[in-house]
This record gives sequence, structure tokens and C-alpha cells, in this order.
Amino acid sequence: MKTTKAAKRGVFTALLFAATLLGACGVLLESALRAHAPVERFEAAAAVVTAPQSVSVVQKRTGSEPETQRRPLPERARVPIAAAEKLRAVPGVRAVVADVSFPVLTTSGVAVTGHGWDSAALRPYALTGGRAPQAADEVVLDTATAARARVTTGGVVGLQSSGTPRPYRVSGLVEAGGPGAAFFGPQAAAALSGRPGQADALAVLADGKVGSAALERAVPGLTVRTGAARGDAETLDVATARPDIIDMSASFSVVAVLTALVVVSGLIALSVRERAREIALLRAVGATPWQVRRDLLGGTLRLALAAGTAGGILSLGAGAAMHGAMSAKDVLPAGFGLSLSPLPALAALAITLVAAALSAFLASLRATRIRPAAALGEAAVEPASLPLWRVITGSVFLVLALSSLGASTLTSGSTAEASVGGTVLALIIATAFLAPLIARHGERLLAPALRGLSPVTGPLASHNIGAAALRLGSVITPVALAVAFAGVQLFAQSTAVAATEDQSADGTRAGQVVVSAGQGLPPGVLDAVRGAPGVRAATAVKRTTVVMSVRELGETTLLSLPAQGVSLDGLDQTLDPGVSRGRLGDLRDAGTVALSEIAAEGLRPGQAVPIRLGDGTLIRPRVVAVYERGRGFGDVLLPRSVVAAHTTTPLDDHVLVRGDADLRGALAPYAGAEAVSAGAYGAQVSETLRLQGFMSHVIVLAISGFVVIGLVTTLAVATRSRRDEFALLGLVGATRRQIMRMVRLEAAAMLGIGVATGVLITAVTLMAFAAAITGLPLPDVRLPTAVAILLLVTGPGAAAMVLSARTGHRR
Amino acid sequence: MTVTTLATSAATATGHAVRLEAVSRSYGAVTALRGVTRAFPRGGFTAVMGPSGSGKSTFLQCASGLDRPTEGTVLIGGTDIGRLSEAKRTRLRRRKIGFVFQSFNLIPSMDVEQNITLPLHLGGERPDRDWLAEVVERVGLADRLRHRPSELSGGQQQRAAVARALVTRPEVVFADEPTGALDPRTAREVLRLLREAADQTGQTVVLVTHDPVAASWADSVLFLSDGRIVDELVDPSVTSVMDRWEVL
Repeated sequence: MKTTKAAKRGVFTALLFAATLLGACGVLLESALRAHAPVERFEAAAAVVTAPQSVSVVQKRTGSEPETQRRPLPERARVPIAAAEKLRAVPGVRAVVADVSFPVLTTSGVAVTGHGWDSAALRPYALTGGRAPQAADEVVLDTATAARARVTTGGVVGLQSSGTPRPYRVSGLVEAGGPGAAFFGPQAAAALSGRPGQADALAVLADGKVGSAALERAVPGLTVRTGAARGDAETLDVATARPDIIDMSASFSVVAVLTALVVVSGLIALSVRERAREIALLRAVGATPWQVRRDLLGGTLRLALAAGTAGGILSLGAGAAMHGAMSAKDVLPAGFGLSLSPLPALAALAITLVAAALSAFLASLRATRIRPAAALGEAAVEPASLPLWRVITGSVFLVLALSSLGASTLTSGSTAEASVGGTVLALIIATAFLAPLIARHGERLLAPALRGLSPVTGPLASHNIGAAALRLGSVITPVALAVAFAGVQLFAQSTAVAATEDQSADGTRAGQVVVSAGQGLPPGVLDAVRGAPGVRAATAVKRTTVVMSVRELGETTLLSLPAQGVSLDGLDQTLDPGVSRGRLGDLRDAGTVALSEIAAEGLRPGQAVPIRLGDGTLIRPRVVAVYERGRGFGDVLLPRSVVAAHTTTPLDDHVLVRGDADLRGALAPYAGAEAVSAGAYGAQVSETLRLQGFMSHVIVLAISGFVVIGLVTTLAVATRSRRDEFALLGLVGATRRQIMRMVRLEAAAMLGIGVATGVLITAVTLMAFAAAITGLPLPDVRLPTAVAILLLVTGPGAAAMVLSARTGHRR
Repeated sequence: MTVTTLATSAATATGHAVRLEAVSRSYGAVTALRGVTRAFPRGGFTAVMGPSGSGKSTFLQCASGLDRPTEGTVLIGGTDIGRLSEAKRTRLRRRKIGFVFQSFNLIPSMDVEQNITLPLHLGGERPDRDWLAEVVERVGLADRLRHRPSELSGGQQQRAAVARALVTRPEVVFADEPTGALDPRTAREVLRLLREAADQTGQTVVLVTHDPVAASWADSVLFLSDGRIVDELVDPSVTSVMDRWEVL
């Protein structure tokens, strides 16, 4: 017993694609789970001790076990240098270096990181000439940095850290290779880091091996990192990006599986239809329903095994390529390494097998509805009614989708974004189950139009759609899936970006923005700008991330929220976050905070709210204002003085300036500081935001390609299975032209119904999403993108149907 | 198993391979069969005739256990099929009933031998080599066993289908217009095979047809009209069948 070759090829291709996509997401997932920043500066250290770089909170859950939620900390948490003494006492430890890092910008514009000279031993950076820095105005540079800054040993270089640039004499050079670095004398480094008594990390140098357990016992509460994990003590980016990449990979895997289910079950359903007479015959001569089912399952699983294995192997390459592209586009932080193991391939194989078995089983239910008596008749009649279980399951998903839609209009921000995915999935699953009903109703709507288009072949086409609703369901679902997935994924993102841009533009009252070419602006820039003639108000903004528990839909969730530390004088002159309750003017001292409406869910002005700052420090400020433009200005506004002490660098991100002033004079003392117009600044921010959508663009392209391949195969199989019908029409006098015209009309009508379903799903979801994040149901839909999606989906589909009818009819 | 054995002996005892008792079958508002009662003796060859829409196909489907009657009882080898699940009915069919269809209904991807032994494979049984050889010899396809159906003539295909129907040594062979697509000479070969099955190996043969020539091969001819048996002709000839057919 055989499935037709075309259907087999289609199932194989779909499963191969699914396995490849799954495995590729798996590679990213595994990389995210295993990724550590590269160990460069701490290569010689046996272990690196830091403060914990994450916070966790036990959340009570109604009706279930309490859940521990963990978020990474994006800012450096410091360790007391005193702890070094305890580490030195551990046997085997040769030395402990209190490592500090601080931003350094040369007056010629080269950005490096500054450290104390004793940190040079950790890589080690070896001197190539000169000697170690001793005096407070001496520095050692690596040869590459020195070359870029055009200085040599004995020369003088201007270096800016958290103040204005000061001249330093280059006392020596170290070999290049590691991250660009400037080494200062011990006292100078401690002063420049600005945190006496504290270090960023305590690096342990050992003679032999030192057990990390012994180190952990010596400094309880601190984190001991060895091996590759030492990299995370050097840079925090990788650890901070990790949860997002994990979420993204997981949710795209779900879409890949769903697509495979839709495409494969459609194809199997079609091949079952094509083989209806054969199945009826088998049933008549003694095959039990289970034998027919087993046969279908067995055949599909054999294909899945081959496709899953091949796809799994391919996926490792695809995953590596995706990682490479994302790194190249700076979507992944520098040093987010690639981890390749057979695991994603094996997982892809396993999931492919399960998905194939599930879709074959569902399709086989239909196979066993074929009555053996059908073998007696001439024509295989398609079962007319939709089984009840399908209607019920479809309706359940529809209800789920609507309630999730309701949820996204009730919540806002990140929850709305997360629930958009769920809404689309539920709607697509509902479509898959109810597609025959949609086809039948769609046909009723389109029948007059088809008749109008062509009085002879129009009704034929319309009749075919109505009669073969089950077959057409296999076409409508993938079309709707492709359109809805691509539409929602791309436009939800552009809607979010547009909302951010609009809010930021509407709420910024400054005409100029001072930005930095290096890691940030020294705090002194603000005063310099304020002193410039013509400046009416200036606000220094320091971006950070805070961690707080937010109530959404009755559940409390630990979230990382974008936050800004702002200088308070004249704040309302430069910033208008759209305050809806309370007064922004009350944001006065360290004990106050303003929250966006998302973050303020369930809170009133005057209430105290626990917030973890970027380095994990817990504060309990009083809410003084609640504002609407959370996308433009972050969800949390805190006084800059509160934030600055708990971030990796003391530098400001930008300074907003109100008033028509020439700032060149005020900024002249500072290296790398530059004033740009508010518009230019906005464009720069947008560019960064849009890059964040890179991965979803790649995935949208991959999934759409996947659907289109499935669709083309499905249409080809569907049309070829009607060869007998075409031959019969030919016998009763239909001309070849008429048959082709009928097929074209049918293709247009079916693709139209599919596209309409997809557009409806997209529209409903996007409007709810837009309403959630901007308050208005107006998503940001770019016409060229929309047209591109529709062409991408319908073009190949229509071509496949017409071409296969042509070859089918020729026989 | 015990039940089946008992049932078989009961059937042997009564001498009836298939019995229909007051069998009716309706499809929604349409009643295709109205209270048909009839027993088919073992080793008998019965033809069923009637105009289109007389209920011939429904009769065949109910008598063979492909379908269940809405009212009445169908006993195949003494087993009441109305009480059996789909799977059990299928297994019963596999053991006791052979089918020959109008369009030869061979699986195109299987060769002749695979097609013939398909019911045995579905039942997980090994073919009895001697019996298989005898059946193949009888239908004259001994040198065609490795051929695909597409490489055979229509008559050869139908003879392969007859062999498939006989390979399980069924109690009853149901043939639905088996000669409808064949020329008179090849039709005769197929009918001779069915006749031999009844005479030499004791299969009960039920032949649904509207060809008087085919019907004349049977021991008796039943005439169906409007879902009822309206007449019976014992020891028919082509002319007597045609005369009766005229009256209907």
C-alpha cells in the first residue's frame, strides 16, 4: 500500500524544513543556554569572584505552587574588596586581584576600558617596553590602542573617564590582542573607578588547582566563576541577553512545529482522499480500521525518520548560519558564542517524529471514515460533513483566541506583546480545524462573483469548492497561516517601534540632544550645558534596567523594565511623558519614582513600591506620578542620583537640551561629546530599534518559505488527484481552455478565501495589539511589506495549481 | 475463537452460509431494502437481479457485512453481524467472505500474487502454498504472478480478483457485476470460475447482475424490485430469465 509519490515528497519536504527550522532554533537555544562571554582579560585567573548578577523572587501563585522567578542584572554588582582577604586564606591561592573597570576615552576618540595595573597579570598583558605605571598621571596602553591614539612610550595622551580629559604620560606598552585597555597606577585606578573599597570582581590567581567549593565556602553569598563562566564576569551583555534569546528561540520553535502540523496533516489528508477507493477496497477485503491507520502512521513515520535525521543534520549548519548573521548584525551581543552539539538535531528529530505521528493520526481518523462499501461504487465520494469533534475543537481554540485577544486589550506593553503570539497561534489552529466550514461559507459568498466572471466555468469552479470543502481546507489553512504569521510578526514589531518613536518624539520637548562617541557622557557635561548661553533647560538621562514585580491579569510577574535616571531640575521643560495621575514635579528626591501605566498596574500615587536597581540593590520609593508614554521613556523614571550609583559606569547616555543655543563651546572640554538635533537623535534610536527585529524577519522569511513550499506541494497533489475529473469533463465536452479557466477561477477563489482569513486574523490581532500599546486600534502597516507578503504567498500557490492542472490534463 | 467455531458448526448444521431475516435498510428518508428474508444454502450459486434502484447494491452490502441493516438480522456463518463492532465485522469478512467487484479493484502497486494473498496478509496469516497453487492454477495465472495489474488484460485482472476472493476459502463469495466490463468470452471464463467454486470447493456464491447470460449460470435467480424480493426462478436459462425480466 503506497501513498502517492507527490504527497510523499511533499510530506518529506515539509518535515525536512520543520526539522531544519526546529534544529536551527535549537542551536540558538543551546547557544543561549551555554553562552558565556569570551574569557579574554581573565585568562590567567583560576577563578573570578563576583557579586550575584541576578535576582530571584518567590511569587505566590493562586492555586498552584509558588514559583521562583529569576531575572539577570544588567548592571555590574560590586564586591567589597575586604572579601579578598578571605580568598587569600584559601589553600592554593597565590594572589587575589581586586579588578576594577571604568570607561576611558582618548581625546582622539578611542574608547577603551581602564583598569588598575595589577589587573594586567590576569590575562596576562606582558610589557613590550617601558615600565608599569606608578605615579597618578602615568598610564600603560596596549600597542594597538597606542597606535590608534598615535602615542608611544614616553609620550602624553589625553584621557577622559568621568570628568574632563587629563594628560597622562605613557610609561609603557603591553602587547595587543586582548580587549583595548588602559592600565593606571593602583591609587589612580581606585580613584577613577569612583567606588573606594569596592571592586567589580576579585580574580584569583593560583599555583595549582583551587577547588571552587573551597572558594565558595570562603565567601558565602558571592558567585565563584571558573572556566568559560569567567567570561560573564568580564562583560554582562551575554548573560543579560540570554533570557530573550531563549524566549525567542522557543516561541519560533512552536511556530515551526505548528506549521509542520498544518502542512503535513493537510498533505496526508489529501493523499487519503486520493487513495479513498484503495482504502475502501482494503477495508472490503478485510483490513480493519486500525490496520489502515497503522499503515498510514507507519508510512509517515518512516518519512519523518528520514526527514528528521536529514533536517537535524542540516539544522546545525542553518543554526550556525543564523547565529553568524545575527552576530554580524549586532543582534547578538559580542561574544555570544556558538554552541554546537548533536542535541538540537536529536531534539528536532524527536519533535518531527511526534508531530508527524500526530498529524498522521488525525488524518487517519478520516481514512477510517471511508466505508468499505465505497469500493463497490464507481466514484469515491467525499464525506460531506465535518466531524463533530473537529467543530468542537476548532470552536474551543476560537474561544481561547478571543479570550487571549481580550487579555491583550486589557493589559498593555510586554504582556500584550506576548499574548499576541498566543492569539495568532490559537486563531490559526482554529482555522485548521474549521477550514472546510470556512471554504463552504466563502464559496457561498464568492459564487455570484464567479458566475459573473464566467457564466460557464464560474459555477463549475464554485461547485467544486463547495463540494470539496474538506480538500480545500488543506489549502486555505497554510495560506491563512503564512499571511497571518508574517503579517502579525512584522507589523506587531513595526507597530511597537512606531509607538516608541511617536511617544519619544511627542514627549521630547528638547530641540537638541548631546550624545557621546564613547561609552557615555561624563556627569559634568550637564552643568557645562546648563551654563551655556541660550539654554533654558537641560536634562541628563541615564538609561538602565530595573527589575520589579508587576501585576498583570491578577498574576504577579518579575519583569526587567527599561528605566531612565533623569536629572530633576527643569525636567518638565524637556520631557513630557504624558502624566495621567500625580505630578512629575513631585519627582524630587531619592525616595520618589514615576511609573508608566504598565508598571503602575494596581498601584496608586503615594504608595511605596519595591524596585531592584540594575545592580540588584533594593529600594522602596514612593510613586509620585503615573505616565502614558512608557514606550518612549521607559517604564520607570528615577532621579539620576539614585540610578548613577548602581550602574556599571557613572556616565550619562544623553543630555536633552531646550533652548536655541550653540553648545560647541560648552562641550569643547569634553572628548566625544556632540550636540545633534532631536530629529537626528530620534532617527538613530529608530535604527537601533528596528535592528532588534532582525531575527523575526529571518524567521518570518523561513516560515513563509516553509508554508509556500508546503502550499505548492499541496496544490500540486490536490490538482493532480483530480485527473480523472478533468478527463471526464473533457469527455463530456469541456474544452481544455474551459478546464484551465475553471482551475484558475478555483485557485483564485481558494487563495482568496485563504488570504481573507489570514488578513482577518492579522487585522483582529494587530488592532488589539495596537490598542494595547498605544490606546488606538491603529497598527503600523507598511503597504509595500503587506503587498510583498501577499505576493510571496499567493504567487507560487496560483502557479502551482495552474501548472499541475496543465500537466494533469495533458495525460 | 470458540464462538466462531461454534457458529461455523451451527452454520454447517443448518446448511446456510448467509441468512437474512426481515432485513430493512434506510438511508435517511430513503428505504432501499424492505423486510427481506432469505437464506443462502451452502454450496449454492444464487443470482440477484433487478432494475437500477431496486436495492441490489444495498442487498449485497447488507448480506456481505459491508453495511449493517437498520432493522432485522443478518447471520453470516451463524454470527449476527448487527452486534459486531466495525473491526470485528471486518475480521469476520476477512475469514468468511470473498468479494469480486465490477471494476477489478486490484492494488496497482502490488503484483498479482501480492494482490491475491492480500486478505491473508491483512489477517496476519501465511498463505497455504498448496491451496494458493490450486487457486492460481484454476484461474490460469500461474505464469503471471510477478506481473503488475497494469500489465494484465481485463479478463486476467478479473480472474486475479476471483483468486483473491477464493484464497481465504471463504464460505461465501459475493460478486457485484463481475462481468460488467468484460467481453462475452472472458465473461464466460469468470462465470465458469464462480460455478467451479460452488461445485468443487463448496463456496456459496451470490452474484449481483443484470446480465441474463450471467444469471443463467446460477442455481436460482432472485428478482428484486423496490427493495423486496418479488420473484424467484430455479434452474434458469437465458431465455427464462429474459422472459421474467420483461415482466418486471
